[in-house]
Amino acid sequence: MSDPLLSLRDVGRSFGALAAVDGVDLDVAAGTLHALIGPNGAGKTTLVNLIDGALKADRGQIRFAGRPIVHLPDHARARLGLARTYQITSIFPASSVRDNVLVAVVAASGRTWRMWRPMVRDTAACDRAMALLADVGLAEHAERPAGTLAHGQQRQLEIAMALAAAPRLLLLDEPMAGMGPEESADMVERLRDLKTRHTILLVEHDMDAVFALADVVTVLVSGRVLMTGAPDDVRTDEGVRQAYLGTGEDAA
Amino acid sequence: MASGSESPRRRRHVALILLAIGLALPGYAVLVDEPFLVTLATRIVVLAVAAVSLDLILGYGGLVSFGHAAFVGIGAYAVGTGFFLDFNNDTLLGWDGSVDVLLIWPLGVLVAALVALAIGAISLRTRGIGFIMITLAFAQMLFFLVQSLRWQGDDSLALWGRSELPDFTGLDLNDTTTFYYVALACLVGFTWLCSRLVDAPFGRILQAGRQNEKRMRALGVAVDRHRLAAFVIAGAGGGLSGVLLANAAEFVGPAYLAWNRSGELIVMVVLGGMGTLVGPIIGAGALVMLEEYLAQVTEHWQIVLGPVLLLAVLFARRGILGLIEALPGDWMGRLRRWRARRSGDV
Repeated sequence: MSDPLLSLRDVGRSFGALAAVDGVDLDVAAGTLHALIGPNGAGKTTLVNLIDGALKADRGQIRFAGRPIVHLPDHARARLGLARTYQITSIFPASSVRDNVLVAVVAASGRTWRMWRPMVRDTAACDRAMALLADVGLAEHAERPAGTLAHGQQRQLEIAMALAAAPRLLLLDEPMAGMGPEESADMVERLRDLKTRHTILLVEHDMDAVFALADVVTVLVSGRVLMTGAPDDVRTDEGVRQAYLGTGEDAA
Repeated sequence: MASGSESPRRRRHVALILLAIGLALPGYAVLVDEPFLVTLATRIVVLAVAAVSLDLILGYGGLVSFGHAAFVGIGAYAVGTGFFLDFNNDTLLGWDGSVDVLLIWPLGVLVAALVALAIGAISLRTRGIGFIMITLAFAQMLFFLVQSLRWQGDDSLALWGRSELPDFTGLDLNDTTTFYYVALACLVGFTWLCSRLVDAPFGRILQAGRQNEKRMRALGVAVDRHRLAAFVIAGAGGGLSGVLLANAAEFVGPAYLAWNRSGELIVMVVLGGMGTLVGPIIGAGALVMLEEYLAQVTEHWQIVLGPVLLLAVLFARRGILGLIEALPGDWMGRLRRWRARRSGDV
């Protein structure tokens, strides 16, 4: 097997006395959808922040696409092909839906210093932005201020922005958080489609979604990896049941 | 929020109307025999250059710079120093001064930009209150520095005339109307440059960084350097305003760099509508006229000005321009149709 796209060794981060992430080893193979689950406070979002560079790791090594990235700031990691969405939607609410994606496209192109031609006249970038919006079903809302979109649509918008850079790895932090059943079902379909083209690290509470989508599941408990394995193995593991899933299967 | 395309279109119309007023003003002043109007309008135009430049960093960058008067002062002192050396046949570091527009004006702008680069590089490491205080601190340092300067005993300098344009232009800036139009050209040119800037990728990234810096970083752009560039361009604009101000008033003194001047510039931007470029021009006009006319009514005019500003901030969150853009009815459309009819006649 070839080297994993993303590889973490003994990664840790503490906040005061609390070891939020405590010596995590994790390998995400290219072309897979790798789910990261765990009870509240397990350190899942912290781990995502350590991977994308929003937080600095106290210890450990992170390799991405064959090179160490632990010393790089977040924006430099993004330029290497790491894209993410946030548990709490993070968009540019006052800008139009199209401009949100357009800014992401321009950022990915590296042409952020152009000072003369209006951004919206860059037809190649606009076409790409509209194509990305069409992919997530938001083309008809392109001119609306992004802040006026429904919650589920904002999450889809975030995915379009993350895809603008044609990333090598998508970090999706609870894309279904706060969604109703219908929006969740839409998002599952979106992810099913995305996983055919992208490597994804998915943090998610919705167990049905995780077991339906994931190729590999890592269970994080108290900042440590409890187990990594195929969805069926994780589902039936007694240790995982006790630590996380509780008595019933649908803890979510 | 500036959504859709209606507001920017109205904004363009407002800008054109302002330009028309600006162009017609000297003629109107002659008509009503109020030559002082041109002097007043010059003051508005000159301060508007500074307000527009401040809007780049305040409105578009989202950073409250409380030391913008420093850059205005630097531009003014460049002019003053050039005059002083030239007039007294003195030299400073081997420079014997100049009153040449083509030399001294770009010099003032350049020095202001360089100082902005230094101040910005340090200040932009902070945010929020920290940024407000550190920009204020730098401006105060420069204020006390120029206050300690002595032009033959005095801390201020009255100029004996204005900068000189090359002969081939046939223009004499000592003519009030000529100077007004030159200042107006500077305002229009600078505002136009800024309007290109804010709609170009550079400006859009700057604005996106104001809305959500974390998201911008996750998209691969640390906006720090964009902010610094905006700060430097804003500083250059402040310098341009200062160069004009020294000539308009034929006076250079430390008062130009005082902290309340920086405050007034912020008021102009907020009052007119920040993040719009056109708004700060309206704000400059409104504030200068308020000061002018309130001062005629009462010497305690600042007591009246305060509540007026308070009301404006409370009830016109998006400034005067926001009110204009929110006007009911399609008066812009009516104007457009009227124009179309006229051009149809021709």
